[in-house]
Amino acid sequence: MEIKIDRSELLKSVSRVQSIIERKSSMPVLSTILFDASGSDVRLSATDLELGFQETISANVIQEGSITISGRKLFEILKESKSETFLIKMKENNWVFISDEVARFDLACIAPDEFPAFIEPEGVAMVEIDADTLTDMINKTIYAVTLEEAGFNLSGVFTERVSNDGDDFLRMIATDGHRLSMIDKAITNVGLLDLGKGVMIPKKGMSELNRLASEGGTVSIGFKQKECVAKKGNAVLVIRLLDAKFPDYQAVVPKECAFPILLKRSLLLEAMRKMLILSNERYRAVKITLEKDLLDLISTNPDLGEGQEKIEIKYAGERIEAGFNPKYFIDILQSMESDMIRMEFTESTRPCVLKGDADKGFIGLIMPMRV
Amino acid sequence: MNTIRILPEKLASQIAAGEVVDRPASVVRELTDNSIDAGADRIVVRIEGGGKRLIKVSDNGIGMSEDDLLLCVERHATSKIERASDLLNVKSLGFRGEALPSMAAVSRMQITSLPQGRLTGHRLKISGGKLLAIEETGAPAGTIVEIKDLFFNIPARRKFLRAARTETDHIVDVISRAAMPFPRIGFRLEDGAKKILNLPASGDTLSRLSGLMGRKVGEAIMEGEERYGDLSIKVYAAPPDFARSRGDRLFVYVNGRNIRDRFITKAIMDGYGKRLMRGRYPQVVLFIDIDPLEIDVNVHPTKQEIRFRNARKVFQAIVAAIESMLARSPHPFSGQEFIGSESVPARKDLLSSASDSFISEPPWEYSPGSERRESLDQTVYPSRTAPLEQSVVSAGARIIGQLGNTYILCQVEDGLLIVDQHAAHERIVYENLKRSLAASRVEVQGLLIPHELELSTKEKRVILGKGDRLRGFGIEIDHFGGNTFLLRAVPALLKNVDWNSFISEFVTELEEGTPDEDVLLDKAVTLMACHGAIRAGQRLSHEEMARLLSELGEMDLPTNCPHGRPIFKRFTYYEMEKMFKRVV
Ligand SMILES: Nc1ncnc2c1ncn2[C@@H]1O[C@H](COP(=O)(O)OP(=O)(O)OP(=O)(O)O)[C@@H](O)[C@H]1O
Ligand SMILES: [Mg+2]
Repeated sequence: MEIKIDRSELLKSVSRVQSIIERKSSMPVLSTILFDASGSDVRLSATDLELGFQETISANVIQEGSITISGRKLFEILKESKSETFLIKMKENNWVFISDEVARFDLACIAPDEFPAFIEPEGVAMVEIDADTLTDMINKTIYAVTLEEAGFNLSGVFTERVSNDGDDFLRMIATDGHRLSMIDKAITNVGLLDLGKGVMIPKKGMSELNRLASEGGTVSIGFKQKECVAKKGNAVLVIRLLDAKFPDYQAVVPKECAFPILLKRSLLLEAMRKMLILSNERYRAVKITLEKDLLDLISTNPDLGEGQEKIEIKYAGERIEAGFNPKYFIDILQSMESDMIRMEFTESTRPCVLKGDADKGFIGLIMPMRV
Repeated sequence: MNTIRILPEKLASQIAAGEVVDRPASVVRELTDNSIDAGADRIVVRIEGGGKRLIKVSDNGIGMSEDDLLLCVERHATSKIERASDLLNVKSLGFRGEALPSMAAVSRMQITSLPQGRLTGHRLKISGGKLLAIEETGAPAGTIVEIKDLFFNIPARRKFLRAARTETDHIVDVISRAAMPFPRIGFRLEDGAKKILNLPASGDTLSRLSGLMGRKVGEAIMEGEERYGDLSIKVYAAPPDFARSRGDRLFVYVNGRNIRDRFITKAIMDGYGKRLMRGRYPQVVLFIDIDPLEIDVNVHPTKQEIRFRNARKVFQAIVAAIESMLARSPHPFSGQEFIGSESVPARKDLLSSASDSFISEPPWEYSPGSERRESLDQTVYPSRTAPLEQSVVSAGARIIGQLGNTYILCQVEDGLLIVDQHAAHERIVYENLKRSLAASRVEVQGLLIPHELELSTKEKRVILGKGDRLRGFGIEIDHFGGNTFLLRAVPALLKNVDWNSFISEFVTELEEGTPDEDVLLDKAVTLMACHGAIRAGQRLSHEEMARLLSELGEMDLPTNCPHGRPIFKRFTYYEMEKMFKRVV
């Protein structure tokens, strides 16, 4: 293989895969990027076996063929160089020659046939999603993903299709057993997606998906059996789905609330941040008391002291008192955009619900603590 | 004043008969005891053939006159007590008047003595109990007792003696035990031309202790003192990580008399509590001073056993003395701010990727199948960023990194500290839980989706019967029907717990049903800590490690996990230099 390629183009793709390639892997080939040159294109592949990424960029292909190059080293070489084009050439015995006409590197590499085959599933029904919408869905759920908890594998975001009043939505949900974040978005043709009874996308896959969507435009996405495929421009991301069952969450989402509270998001967020100041490993709960037109927050830490904030609200319901982990409020409130949020609170053993008009389709649940 | 009397028959019979000497070491003990009682400040012991061929003890004590010499080998001849009531108030090491005659009966013995202030000394020769001669001789002030061919006339006994080396080891042990409480007396042991032990008179217990237990132990030793009326306990103890697999470094003295007593050993072990791993013994020197009327030393011919009138009080005093001493002792994390050397934590999503190594723990730790390989949830360790310059300022300790995703390496003032992350976190969770429970302020987190537990019929019975106890520990569990239970809330401190296995282990503890609420509580908390702590094999960021260590610094007992395993091990520069042969 021998190619001439634009440095900045190549740098862009090589830096994008840095988060995928393994640094210290038991399989050294996973720290490399595979180059396949044919026609007037070169295709870069990287994988950690759980997910794979491919991007095709144009190049002056002098001789077709394949090589692997250490992803980390190539990234550093490209970053340090100021030249416009690079020559990458395969030599004998798996040596690769890289030159920007100023400096040259001879790198030892691994035979390309050791690189795990990248199989892009065929015949997948793809649906186009606005990249910003996808980013929004990911940002509003990913923080709730956790380690295995209470017997469920919750290390991913559950994704499914729901119908509501004849409209189809794409839904993403994540929970750690203590709080749950869920977002529904109306997406054209979402009915075409082969989501079965829902799939579980691992956390790392979600953040790669986020990276793909971060440049705006549209992303097309599809599912087939154990894989999720996402495409944007000349890039393809294939994520292996988690083999996990998501708990039956329907019952925990409270139906209606007679006395919702409306308040400024920034006000509650700041108050919760203050309450977090006095929390530590042993005492993290903030006690929330709802009284007539008053929201009272107190954090008491026998080791440190006490903090309190009172927020005026409109509330005509019964007095309710419950403890919460302020961190959970902060996570949710930070991910929201609405100026005014709606807080629904019915019983000290039932979850507190957070919604907002500008966060259409989103609902955040936080389970109280007993204090 | 050193006049020897024959005790009246009645008193003689009050003193239990029995064999005094069974091996060279017991001869050495009796002879050094006598020299100490005689007020000597220099005692030299010379042996040959592990004491089987020769034992010679020389002292510079008060010495014996000709009459004394003749009397001292008579049964029940002693200068130390006169009447029965004295037995209740023994202040000397010897009092039975039995040692010398017993030894004289089974060896070829020769005693040379010159009483202080006299000009001529005398030598007495006795063999197999038969007096051979007493003659005038020149001698240094003091007494020299020579015992040759121990058990020469009891071949069966002689056959039971061990190899010379083994017998010598026993003699070393005996002299060590004798020497510990008397730093003002110089002791020396020679085997032929070889000097085995040299303990110069110094007057201070610590240097005697270093001489006997080694410089390293001496430097690490902690001291404690406790007084309860006329009972006083003085303890010198090495930190728990100096523990040994044998109890050979437990030195116990009651009014200066060395004793071996299971009951006191137990009290010492209880004082260390969970700081010790199972099957390990600490290095401790314990002096008990007590009104002689409160004890009975005349229990056994070897005088190594003792009876306390109020044993419970003594037991509790020892436990308390050791506990409070250990609680006071400084540890490497006290007052330290831990800052990672890389202040920029690694990217979160990268952290959560699987790590390739997993180091398993000893089987007693926790049930298998609980490996977790992801990084900590942010909630467990809310980020605490410290200004960068602090890492330079608090030069005391600096985190180097994580080894095998299992150990935290830390540079400390005198070298390297290796911290077992699971044990450390287990300790933190344990103490935090205990404190919260003690304050009745366990934070309990409701579960959004109750966790279904399928129990066996036996487990079901226990939960239904004693399930209330669980609520006290912050675990809310409801019977759902059949053998199904719903776990509704758990202590907020615990994360990543496999509740199924936790509940079934806990049920076992509940079922064993201890009446002592404290014991059950401790077991429950230990179990929860074990299940709720970060694992070996779990990758931690520098920030997480720093937080873990500074939290550990706030613990009462940062040295051992609740199971007793050590949390950290220190390698001093000195040890490393020795290892690399920079020093010899
Ligand atoms: N090294 C010595 N210096 C001076 N007097 C000694 C010495 N050894 C023994 N005696 C005298 O000999 C007596 C008898 O000694 P022996 O060891 O047989 O009995 P004890 O020490 O009185 O009691 P026990 O049998 O409990 O040891 C002692 O009471 C003491 O007066
Ligand atoms: Mg004696």
